Amino acid sequence: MPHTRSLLRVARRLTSDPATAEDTVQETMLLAWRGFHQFREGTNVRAWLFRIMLNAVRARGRKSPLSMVPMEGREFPADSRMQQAVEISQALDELGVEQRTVVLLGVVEGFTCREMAEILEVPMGTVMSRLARAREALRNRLTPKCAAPKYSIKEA
Amino acid sequence: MTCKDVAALSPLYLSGELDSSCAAEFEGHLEACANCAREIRELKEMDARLRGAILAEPLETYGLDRWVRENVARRGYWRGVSSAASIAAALLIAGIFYRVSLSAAKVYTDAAMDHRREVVERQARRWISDGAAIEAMALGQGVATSAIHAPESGGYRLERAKLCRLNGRIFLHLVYTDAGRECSIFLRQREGEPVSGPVNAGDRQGEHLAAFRTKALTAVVVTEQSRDVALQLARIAAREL
Repeated sequence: MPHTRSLLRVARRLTSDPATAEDTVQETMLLAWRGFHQFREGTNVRAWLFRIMLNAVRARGRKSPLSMVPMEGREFPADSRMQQAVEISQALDELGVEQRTVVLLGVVEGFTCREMAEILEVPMGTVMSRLARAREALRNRLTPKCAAPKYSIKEA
Repeated sequence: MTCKDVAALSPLYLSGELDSSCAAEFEGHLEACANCAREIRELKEMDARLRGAILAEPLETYGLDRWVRENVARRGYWRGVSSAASIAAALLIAGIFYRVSLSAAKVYTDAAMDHRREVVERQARRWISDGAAIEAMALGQGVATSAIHAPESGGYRLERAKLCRLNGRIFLHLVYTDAGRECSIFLRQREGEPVSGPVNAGDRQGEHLAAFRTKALTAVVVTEQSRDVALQLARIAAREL
């Protein structure tokens, strides 16, 4: 159950810098310890931890992240896979925080829309529309020649 | 099912949440509609690329384990929790502990903060400015004297030095000047971390950073001038190290 890894991965993309991300995960674990009596047996521990953490992130406020990116250059060649990963990473960071959150939870961490609705405390339709719009935005950023969105999706 | 339905239901389809009859109807539409089939295929491919890229990023959880042991368990936040819940919580936290190597990201943040406080804002610190004493201090940390003089080939002048802690590890903090402007280089003997290929560059508030590793050293350059200056100094230092 390496939850820390997942929590830190998401926190790093939602907080101002790596140190704040670590602090947020530490706070999450502390709150999990203190509030463990509130945890209902049979419910999803991982979703419960993420819900605690996202509340902690909201309480701290979000800023633009410090991102150290590999630089291309004669002295320091970067391979194409690394460059592609950097592009994807930057495209994700350029999304608004609500869309970035559902991409991190749904696409990277594998939560279902129903689980995300519980974690984020929003209707399931809202999660679905955020995710659809985020995917569209990412696709447009990563493949600029791609056509404009075919459908318009309203926020639920 | 129409194209519009497919667009609206695609998040549920991609997360495997459609019930079997609805999924069959969805896939039936994909078989009949080339546009929607291409749309869903592209989204699946993009999800896989994104997931692969993010999961492959280095992730360090150094310090979390120690922090919880020292700050949560020791202070007894578990007291008052029933024994069954204590065991469950212990299992939960046991799953949370996950130690990997040095937190490079926290090192960068600490380096930027040290430069801001100690060089830019000139908060009082015990600096050593005698050349021989700096060399002796460097050797004590396993840093060769050639390493501390490396930036001099690019016109940078070594002004002063001291030891500091970045993410709990001791680094040699060296301050160089170039045309009256000060830059910091933090050096530490490498302890098994992989030698990184490219130099990493980033910005934190007013500070610009460039970091790299050689066979012998981990190095972080910090300046408030520009990212280009940080990269230039890193390249000069890396050439000589």
